[in-house]
Amino acid sequence: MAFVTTKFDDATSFKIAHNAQITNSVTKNLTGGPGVLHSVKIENNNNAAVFIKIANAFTATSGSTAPDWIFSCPASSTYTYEVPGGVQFDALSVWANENAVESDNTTPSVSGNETVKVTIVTG
Amino acid sequence: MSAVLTNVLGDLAGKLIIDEDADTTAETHVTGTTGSMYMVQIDTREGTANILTEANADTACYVKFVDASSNVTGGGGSSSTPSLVLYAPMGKITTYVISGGWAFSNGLSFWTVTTAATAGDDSPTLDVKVTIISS
Repeated sequence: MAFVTTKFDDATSFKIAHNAQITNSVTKNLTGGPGVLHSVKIENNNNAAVFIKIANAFTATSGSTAPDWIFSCPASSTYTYEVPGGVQFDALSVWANENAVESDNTTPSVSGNETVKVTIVTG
Repeated sequence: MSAVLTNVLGDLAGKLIIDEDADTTAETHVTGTTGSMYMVQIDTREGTANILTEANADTACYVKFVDASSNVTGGGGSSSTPSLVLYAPMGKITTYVISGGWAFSNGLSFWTVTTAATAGDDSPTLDVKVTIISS
């Protein structure tokens, strides 16, 4: 399933991006350009850990690109990483793997009703 | 300089860990027990203060964490695989808050390098201060 990115009002630069079932397929240039990363929420009800990998780049390749951020979330857990004040980026390319190692290209092993949801807020 | 651990009052996150010059040498098992990490502050302002007087080609640094109590290797070809990587541009204070805590069941270990790649082994040119609040 793909990310859906929504802008708030034109008066603000904030955007929210949600993926209801993230995979190892890379979403390139998530916000359509530069911005400020404010938070990453991972809702993992899979029975395995997940690693959300984000490159500060317009494009990336799962299994070979070294991510600028790795946000981990254990099995059956919800983790929220917040960045008060934010951290600037040029572009965000986002994907998920089942293992932390850079060369891993395994998609999260969800089955049945298991899901790995990711919500990202940027400014 | 190695990481300094101070125990403060509080049931939620009573441990304050400060590494004044975080680098590629891993700080291993810094809390001495299991727990959860709630905040990481990465202060890279030293790079701005000295940018005119010292060679400083760094544009960013990466603080890398692994849940391990021993045999942790910072950068280089045999680097441990980090399970949490936090990016911080130079010349700023970047703070990450993990509201529910980042749980570690073995030990909290970390190192800091200037490249995202796991094999990256270059320490920041100028001092990077990493402050952690943990249980």
